[in-house]
Amino acid sequence: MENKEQKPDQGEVRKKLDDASRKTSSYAQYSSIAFQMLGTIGLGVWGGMKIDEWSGNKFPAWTVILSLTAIGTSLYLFIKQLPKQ
Amino acid sequence: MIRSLLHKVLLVSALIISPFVSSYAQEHEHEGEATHQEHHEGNAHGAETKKEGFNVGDMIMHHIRDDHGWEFAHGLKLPLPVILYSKDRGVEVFSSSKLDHDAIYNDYKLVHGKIHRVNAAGEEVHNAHVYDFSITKNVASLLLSAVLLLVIFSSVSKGYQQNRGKAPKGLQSFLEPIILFIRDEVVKPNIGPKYERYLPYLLTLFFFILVNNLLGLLPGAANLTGNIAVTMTLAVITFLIVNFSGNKHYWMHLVKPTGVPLALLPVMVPVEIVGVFMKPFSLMVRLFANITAGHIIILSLLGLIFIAKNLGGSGIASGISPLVAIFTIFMNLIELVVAFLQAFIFTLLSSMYIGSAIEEHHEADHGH
Repeated sequence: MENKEQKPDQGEVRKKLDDASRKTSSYAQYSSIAFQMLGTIGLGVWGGMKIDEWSGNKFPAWTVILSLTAIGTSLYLFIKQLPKQ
Repeated sequence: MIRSLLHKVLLVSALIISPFVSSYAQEHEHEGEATHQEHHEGNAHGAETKKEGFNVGDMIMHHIRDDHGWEFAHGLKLPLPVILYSKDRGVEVFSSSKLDHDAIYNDYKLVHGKIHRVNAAGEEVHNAHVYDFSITKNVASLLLSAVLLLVIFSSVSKGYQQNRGKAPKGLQSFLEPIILFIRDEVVKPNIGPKYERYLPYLLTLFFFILVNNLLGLLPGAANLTGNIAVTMTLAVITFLIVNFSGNKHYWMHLVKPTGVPLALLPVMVPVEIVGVFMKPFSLMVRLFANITAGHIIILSLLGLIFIAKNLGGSGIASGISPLVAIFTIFMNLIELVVAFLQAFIFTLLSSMYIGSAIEEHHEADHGH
């Protein structure tokens, strides 16, 4: 299936293609991390609110604790996924 | 492109927070519309439209939601089968046209797009559990796309049998570069030497999303990949594949992350577990958000004409129509790119996640 004739003189095009696909790839990765942070924080806040509702607290302690924890978690997961360079 | 993506993110993050709570969603759609107008005409009159007869929010939600019956254009509605199951009555099948215009049929009534059991007085019966397995607009579109994919790819595979050793022909020559691109640029670099096991799934994923994105752009079509249940199913399949093919390193990394002191483990393990679930979550939300946002933007652009008619009469409406048409065409072209891009990104990220679950050493950084 591979076209052997095209290989040698395609170096330039190949390089550009590789570059483009690397850029898209990192775009995909970072936008994915953004949605992951959104999801993590959302999960934390939602869970906290549910626990507060269930326990009937006057002060929404769980919401506060879990949302802050979720922000920390999302930052940790974000840093962990950064390329190691 | 980036600005439009930014709009989408803003618009849709608002939508996600309160999905389909119509009054709330409406306000945000107006906001999105207003930001668009600022660029186009320099004035924002989105908020004033609410009191008028035409409701953009309702129009948009009607277009992007699933529905019993497939409305191609106003008044041209293809009825689809309604299939219901309830414990006391068993399976019931009838046409969705029986429920049109708030009609009651067999004690069933459509309330806000959902089928409810009602009593003789027309009130909802709350304790009756009705399971709805209907062929809705989205299901019909899904089946259509499955047939389309089968037809396309059986013709491609037939091409490979007929033109063995020869140059590809027709549809085959159009799809071969795309297939090779996914294989060589997306799957191989991210998964590594064992890529062949996952290639069928990832190619299917890519073409399924692509075909449905493109089908969704047709006028009167269903918004399948902009339905969160569909994207969730895709994300769950990826999640299952990632976790079932995860090797020792993957699981050890979850239970005991490297370089973490023992005292921190009770904190880090839940964090890692949350991370596992957040990856498919991000897949689900991104595809849903991008496609839905694209539809909303196009529909709000078109809605501008009707808003203008309400505010300033038909003269102004026909005056701004050409402008709106140009922007709509422009957005449609961008949506074509987005259709490809989102299919590509979903496949790329799926293969990255699979790759990170099966790689032997964790030194290798992902995605390069």
